[in-house]
Amino acid sequence: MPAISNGEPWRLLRAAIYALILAASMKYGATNHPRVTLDLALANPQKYDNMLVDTVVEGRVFSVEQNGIILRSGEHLIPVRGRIESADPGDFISLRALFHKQGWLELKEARVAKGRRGKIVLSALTATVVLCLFVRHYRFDFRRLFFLERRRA
Amino acid sequence: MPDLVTHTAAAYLVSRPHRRTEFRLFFVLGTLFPDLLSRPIYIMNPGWYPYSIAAHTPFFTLVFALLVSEFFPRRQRSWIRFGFGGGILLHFILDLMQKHLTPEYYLFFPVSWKTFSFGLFWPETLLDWLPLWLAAMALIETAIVVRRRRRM
Repeated sequence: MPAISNGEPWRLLRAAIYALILAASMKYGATNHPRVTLDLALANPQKYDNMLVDTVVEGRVFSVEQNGIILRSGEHLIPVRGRIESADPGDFISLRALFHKQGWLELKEARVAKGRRGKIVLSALTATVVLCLFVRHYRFDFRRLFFLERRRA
Repeated sequence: MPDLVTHTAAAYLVSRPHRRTEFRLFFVLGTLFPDLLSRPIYIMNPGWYPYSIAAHTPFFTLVFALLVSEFFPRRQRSWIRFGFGGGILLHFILDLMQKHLTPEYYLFFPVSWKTFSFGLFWPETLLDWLPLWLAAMALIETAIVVRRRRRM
């Protein structure tokens, strides 16, 4: 332990406490958030019948139909009834809609995120570049559990 | 969220006057934290979205910054925390400028689920402005190099 604690006996305890707080807040966020998401509604259709839900994340247009679209959300394909302008198959889409227990949505509001795919790619590239810069400046000392500057390490 | 190029460019422009390269690096890393911690969770699996809610809050990212800073030597910790904290703050300032169909940013988590945003532009709008951010960064770096050469 002397090498790991590096003269700071409480350092790893503090780190463990921070990690516990992070884990607890993730759990708290997941179980207490006020949003009614499509996944929630699909898991319990009776409870969320006729309630306003939002497809907050990564919903995509699977196909465009005469009276709406088929939405792909995760593994689910869900009919959405209502007019959506400029939606093409594959587009990312966020929407608010009334959920019906039979498994379809009645559109209230929608927005097609045309540039989202490019945004994800550019963001991933940027994150990679910044993380590479970090690795260029620092290395991790596994014996002492510290990041050390490369020029001083 | 705006794309991470915009976040990084904003962090670069704000932190550039600081002389220490490492501080600027931590500032930029801090500005990436909220998205790096939350987005991959539901991009990989939309069903895990609820677990990403906390990860995109000031509370969570600041605690994460404290956790990460524990893995740096003690003498560096205070300015590393300052860099991370500044970057995180800048991230949420930019995020608040956006509009969404649904409430997105739980700034007061875990105390309150109230949300707030200025709603000035859609998340993808800033992609059109990327050349401007990149040109501004290139211009500043060029100006710094030219000034250094003149001094020599």
